[in-house]
Amino acid sequence: METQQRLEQLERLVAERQDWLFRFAYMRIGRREDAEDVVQDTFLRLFRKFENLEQVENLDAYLVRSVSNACQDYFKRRHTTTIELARIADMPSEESDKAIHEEFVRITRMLDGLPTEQAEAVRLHCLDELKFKEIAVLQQVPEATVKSRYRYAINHIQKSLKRKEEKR
Amino acid sequence: MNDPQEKYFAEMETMLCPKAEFRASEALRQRIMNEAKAETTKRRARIYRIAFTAAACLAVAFLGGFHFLRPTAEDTSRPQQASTQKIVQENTTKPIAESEDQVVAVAVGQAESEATFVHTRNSGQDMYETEFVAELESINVRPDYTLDAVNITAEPEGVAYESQEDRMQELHYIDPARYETEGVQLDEIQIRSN
Repeated sequence: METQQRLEQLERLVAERQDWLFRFAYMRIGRREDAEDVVQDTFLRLFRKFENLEQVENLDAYLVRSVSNACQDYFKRRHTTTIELARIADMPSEESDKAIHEEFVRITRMLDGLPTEQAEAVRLHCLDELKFKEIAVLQQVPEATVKSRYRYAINHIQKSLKRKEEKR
Repeated sequence: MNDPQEKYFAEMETMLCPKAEFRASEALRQRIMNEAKAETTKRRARIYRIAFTAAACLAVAFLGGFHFLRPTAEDTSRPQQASTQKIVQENTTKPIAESEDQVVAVAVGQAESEATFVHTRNSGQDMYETEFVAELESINVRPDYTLDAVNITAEPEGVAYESQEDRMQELHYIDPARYETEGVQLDEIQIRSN
């Protein structure tokens, strides 16, 4: 395939999917620079690997898996599994990023205390808008497991919200 | 949506859904495209470089062969050195060719800095396989270098071979595995006769 055509394909794909993938990465990492680096690496890996991007079977699934793995690598490099809750609110953030960072903090706090798999099931379903079937493929577990993880997580979140209301 | 369970999950989902608009910066798209363009350029340059290296290698071997296959008076009168013979025996390896005056060896490699180097050994210098290997291994001290090809050109003097097969039988084939020490990567080893 012609180089120019490949570049045009990539440019179209980046324009269509970059915000979606950026949100995916930001909601796990909480820093614009790092989230954008992860997205950049994901697109470039795809570009290097495939001669024709249109031939990639289920491109969205590929991108989500790739960016999800990149986020896990990000935490591995920092010898941790998730972002530390105590530090997220203080994290330096550009003025223009204030709104998205507040959303990140709010949702991360809601998911705090959940086992990692349950929190991830909620993120993938509510934030990344994946269906349970797609999450099952991504996490390589049965669909029923994803649904039960999700149910447990929602119940847990609701209980903790009630407790907070009662305290007030 | 009348099911209270469904309603409850839908409410929670709404609560968990981010309200702010997440937008990657415009610079990100530019950065990705610049990187992709740089990679395609690099890939193209690599193809050209390999072609150039192969051509340079052949040219050096061809020209070197003509020049060094011509023995000087001093060369023909020089007796075989006992010490060199000893090295060969101790290492149980064969000389690259029957006579050191008739050999040209060329190693062409690539540094990560993309600078091409051409490493030659020729008549007038010690031309035994062990020494040439040692010399290649010494390149290994510089880990940024990899070898693309080694050409050994040899032509025993005054011998007319009837066929290419006969000629190749006279030359000692060099086992590529011998060069594959850590950091020295060989794509090919060729023995050529001019």
